[in-house]
Order: sequence, then structure tokens, then C-alpha cells
Amino acid sequence: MSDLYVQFKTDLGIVRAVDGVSYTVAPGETLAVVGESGSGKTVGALSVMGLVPPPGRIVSGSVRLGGKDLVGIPEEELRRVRGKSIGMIFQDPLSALNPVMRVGRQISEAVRIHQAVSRRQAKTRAVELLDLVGIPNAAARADQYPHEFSGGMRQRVLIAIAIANNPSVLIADEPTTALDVTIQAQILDLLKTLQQSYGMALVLITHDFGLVAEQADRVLVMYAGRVVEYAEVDLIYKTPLHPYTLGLIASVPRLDVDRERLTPIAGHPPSLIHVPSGCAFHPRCPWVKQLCLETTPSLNAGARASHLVSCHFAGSLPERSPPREGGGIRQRG
Amino acid sequence: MNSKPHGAPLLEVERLVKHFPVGQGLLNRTAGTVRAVDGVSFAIGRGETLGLVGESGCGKSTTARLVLRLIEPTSGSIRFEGREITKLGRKELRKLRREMQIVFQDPYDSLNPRMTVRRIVAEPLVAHGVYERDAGRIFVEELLQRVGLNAEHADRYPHQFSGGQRQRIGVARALALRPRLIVCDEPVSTLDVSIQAQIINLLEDLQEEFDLTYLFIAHDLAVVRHISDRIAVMYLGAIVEVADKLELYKNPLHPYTQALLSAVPAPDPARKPQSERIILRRDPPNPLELPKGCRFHPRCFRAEEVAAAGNEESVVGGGGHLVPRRCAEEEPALDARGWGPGHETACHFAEVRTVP
Repeated sequence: MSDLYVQFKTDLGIVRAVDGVSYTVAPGETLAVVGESGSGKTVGALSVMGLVPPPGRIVSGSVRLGGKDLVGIPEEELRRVRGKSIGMIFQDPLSALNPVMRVGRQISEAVRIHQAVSRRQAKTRAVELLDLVGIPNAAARADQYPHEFSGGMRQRVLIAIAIANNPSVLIADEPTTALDVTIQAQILDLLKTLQQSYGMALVLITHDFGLVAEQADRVLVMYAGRVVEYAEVDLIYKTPLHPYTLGLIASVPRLDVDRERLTPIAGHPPSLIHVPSGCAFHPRCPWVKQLCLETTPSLNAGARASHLVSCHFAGSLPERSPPREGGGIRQRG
Repeated sequence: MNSKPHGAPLLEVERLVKHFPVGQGLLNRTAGTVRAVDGVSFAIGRGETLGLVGESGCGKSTTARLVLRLIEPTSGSIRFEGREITKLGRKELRKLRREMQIVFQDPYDSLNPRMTVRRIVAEPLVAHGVYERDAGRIFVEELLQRVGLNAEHADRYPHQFSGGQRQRIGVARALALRPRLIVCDEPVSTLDVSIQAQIINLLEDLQEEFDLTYLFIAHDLAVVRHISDRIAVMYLGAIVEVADKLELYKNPLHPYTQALLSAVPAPDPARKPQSERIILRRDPPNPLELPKGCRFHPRCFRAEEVAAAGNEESVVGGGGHLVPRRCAEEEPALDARGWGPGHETACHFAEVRTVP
């Protein structure tokens, strides 16, 4: 993805959902896209699939899959890519399945759209896929409806559909947010195994820093539609450079570390219609200076060439000092 | 059944049961019973925070509603300051409600969109006939400031606020009557991560300032660990383990607690290689057909280990694998069996397992 801009024209103004985002993901690699609600992480993923809902549209930029640009190609052609070369898993497994169609049929349809196989072959493949994603009695379960499946099992079905045509890229949008933690562990384990055996590139969209630490090779942190930090996972945790990343890591309670008191980020995420001037994070930043209000920082390499950050003062922030609570400029709310 | 609270108990719950009949068919015959809360006992000391954790459907929210008598228990006892409240009549119950309030999970659903913030926060005062016009105005504005909002916010409507601000309004409403006990039902689970910490800190500050007691219900183990003094773990309607928070996280005894802790991803790439994670097989069973014996045995790895060691008489359990006969037939009671003080668990073969 390079320099992608996605905007929604609304009565209230233009929503800049994705505001110049670039990233790459290699076969077998996991890229985590981290951000809060409204950071543009989901819209970014949808634009890869050509699924940005109206009135949203890709204003400029490109999404290349194996060198071929997917932005602006005819819907017909896009349909051949979607579900075949790129699979997608959504957050809510219930609303992503058709409630009145047998589960096996939903998987075999996904197969038949992209592969010239008979109905019977597709059905066999569906059962194979259900088995592969760890559903017991796959043959019998294929004849059941989604409501007969638990949340974790539904997510397995969606994974089966997403990988039905051996995609080279799998996009998982908060794949475990709706699931219980013991089920989440099962699903993540499954995704990892599948990724390793098929060499898929995985784009994992999440707000959970724990998931990121365990799953990702590289991390892209988004804020207000823009990339604020982009680096290998170890660097993000060991030497976070952007005040927002620092704030996120400091604000999460942890199982393995005792914290007397959490240090929250002041204020709340901005509206994407009225993105703050200069650096979009400036109203919440404890280290804000005049320059931050005036000039939008660009994404540049920090101490290492592979560690990108967009902050005017990334190199010179007081080392590890926690942002003061209630700091930043008060939001007019 | 004495999960020991710190200090004198404010709330004591004993063998609390709530069964929901499930209707089916044209005549709505009772097709089965969901044993949502199935003999739960715990106590909370004054000024203490008891965390109640468990996954969806384990009965933690039902327990919360029972404690507040928003729904009626099937059986069991709830004592508030030593006084039995399950038998209280309407009038007495009303009085009691001043002492116990709730903060709901979803700040979008739990605030009336047609009311100004002032009315929302004042409503409990009005309902209990303690709202005075001028003093009330000032009181509400002070309350809003106390929870981190401005007095000018009083005349706005809920939709004009962000999720975190709405939850602050919910907290102000719960605080209006100066209750002793606040039940927090997943108060931060729908909020963005950067906002969660704001609300957690606010709840901690208010607890200190107003000497509040919390029953804090959540599924996020890290949040519960942060805010609680003691923690009770629920599985399918029963408490399977209870202990001081540090003890619970350091020496988890129940296999389900161990699996829960192990499943939480640590936000540190250097820790916890995934291969050491305990991954439970299968899903939780259908709540209409609770397993016989220990309710966790169909998913239990510990039962399998004990059976495999060969020293116990074993049978094929509800999960289709060999488990000790006791696990399949005899329901373990919550007991202390010589572990750390106040540390109780309901498992026949409990042993400490350090979770990676």
C-alpha cells in the first residue's frame, strides 16, 4: 500500500479516514495495524479489498498485490482477486455469515466462485476445510446453520472461508475481539499454524497490544488516519518513539507487571472531520510545543533506518518519563 | 464457605442460585433450565474491591443483578451490613437501593438519549425525593466536576459526548446518592484503550475519597488484577477459585484459572513463547446441560494428566477422554485445603502451576 488516501464526503464535512498510509507485507510475515476506534485501520483494510463503503472513496494512492495495482481496476477484475488472492476475516463472526444457509454451502460457494470444480468436489473441499480449522465431526457440522455454532466455531468457519482459495494475503480485522480469552488463544494458535503452512502474509488489525507482541513481526501504529510509527515489533516495545505509542503502552494494565497507577492518555481521539492542525496528536501530547500545532510531522527514520516515526521531537523526548496525567491541551468538547 | 474479605464484610452472599426456565414450542412448555448462578458464595469487606472474572455466559452479570435485587434469586442468601435483603419488601428495598448502585458496561445504551446530563445525574436523587432545586443544581455540577467533566456539560445530551465521557456520566449518576457499594459491570470493556486507564483511575480515586466498596465484574484479567484486592473466578455459574489478587496470579490452583491466565497475551515480545500456552480444547458446554461431576471436567487438561498417571480410577468423561472417576461424578466444593490464607478452589486434584 502506498500513500493511500480514503475520504468520505458527508454533510458535516470530509472525513479523512485514511490520510496517506503506506506499508508493505511480505509472504509469511505478520504486520499488525494498531490503533483505536476511528484511527482508520479498518477502512485501510477495506480499501485493499476494494470494499470501501460509499460515500467513501479512494482519492489517491495505490494498493499493489504482487506488483499489480488494485486501485481503479474494474469491479469484475477486483472480484477475481477478492476472496482468492486476498482473504478477509471480520470481527463479528455472526453477522459475517448468512444465517439461512448451511455452513458447508457457504464455504463451498466461496470455493466455486474462484475454482472450476463440481458441486460435489466443492462440498468435499468444504468438509476438508472445516476439519483443517479444527471443527470436530466436520462432515456433520457442514450441514448445520450458523446459529448452531458457538462464537469460536463461527470464527473458525470464517477462517475456513477466508483460506478456501489459498490466498497469498489474509486480512484479519479484530479477529478475536468478540471472543472469550480461552477461545481467542485457540483461534490465534490456528491462524499461526495456517500462516506457517501456507506462507500467507497476514495483516492483523487490532487494538490489543498483547496480541501484537505475540503475533506480529512488524507493527504499524495509526492515529487519526495517519501512520505515527512503523517498526519491527521488538523496537516498538523496547524503544517506542512516538508519544502516542508510549502512551498506549503505559496505559494498559498488565498481568506480569504491577502498576500502582495507570498513566492514561489525556483527552480522547479526535473527530476525523476536524483533525487537529499540525500533528493530529498534539492536543493529547504531554510534550507538545508550538511547532506541533503548526506543522504536520512527516514519517521519518529514527535512530534506525527501519524504525519510522512521525514526531518533530521523537529523538529528544525525555527518556521514559511518563506523560503527566491530565496533561496536554484541554479538548473543547 | 468463607472467602475471607479484608475487614468486616459489607456484603455476604451465600449459596446464591438463579435458574432460568427456558421455554420452547407453542405452549411455551419448560424445555430446560439454565443454571446461570448455581450456588455462589462470597463476601466483600468495607472499602474492598472484589473482582469477579469469567467468560461470557459464566453468570457474573447475573450475580451482579442478583446482588442488587434487580432480579430475584431462586434461592440463597444476600446480606448487606449483616441484614438479609432477599426478603425485603418494596419500601425497604427502595431505601436499600440508595446504598447500592451500578455502573453499566455500555455508556451508549445505559444513558437516556432524550435527557440532559443534568437530569440523568439528578434522577436518582429525584427518585428518592432528596433533590432540592438550587442545592441540587450545584450538587450535580460539583459531581460532574468530580468525575472529570465540566459544569457546562450539564445541559448537553449524551450523544454530544465520547464513550469515555459518557462512562464518566454513568459514574456520576451511580455516585449521586452516595452509595456504600457500587457494582461495576464491565465498566471499561467497550472503551478505547487510551480511555480505559482514565476511567480505572477515576474509580480508584473515588473509592478512596468516598470509602466505596466495589464488586468489579470483568473478563479482562489484567484490568481485574489492577483494580481488585481479591478475585473470584467463575465458570458456568460457580466460583471455581478465590484468592487475594497476588496469590491468585502467582499460584493459580484451578486448571481453568491457569488456562485463563495463560491465554492472555503479554504485551512484551520477549516473554511467553506461545508453545507453553495452555490451550483448552473444545468450547464451553451448553448451559442447558451442565456436565455431571466437576463442571470443568470435559475441558480439563489436569483431569487428563491425573488419569494418564494411572493412580486414580478413571472413566471416560463428558469430553470423551479419560478422567478420574471423581471428576466425572463428584462435584468438588470450594475449599481451602491448606493453601495460602483465603485461597480456595473447587478442584479434586488442584496443584499450583506457574503460568508462563
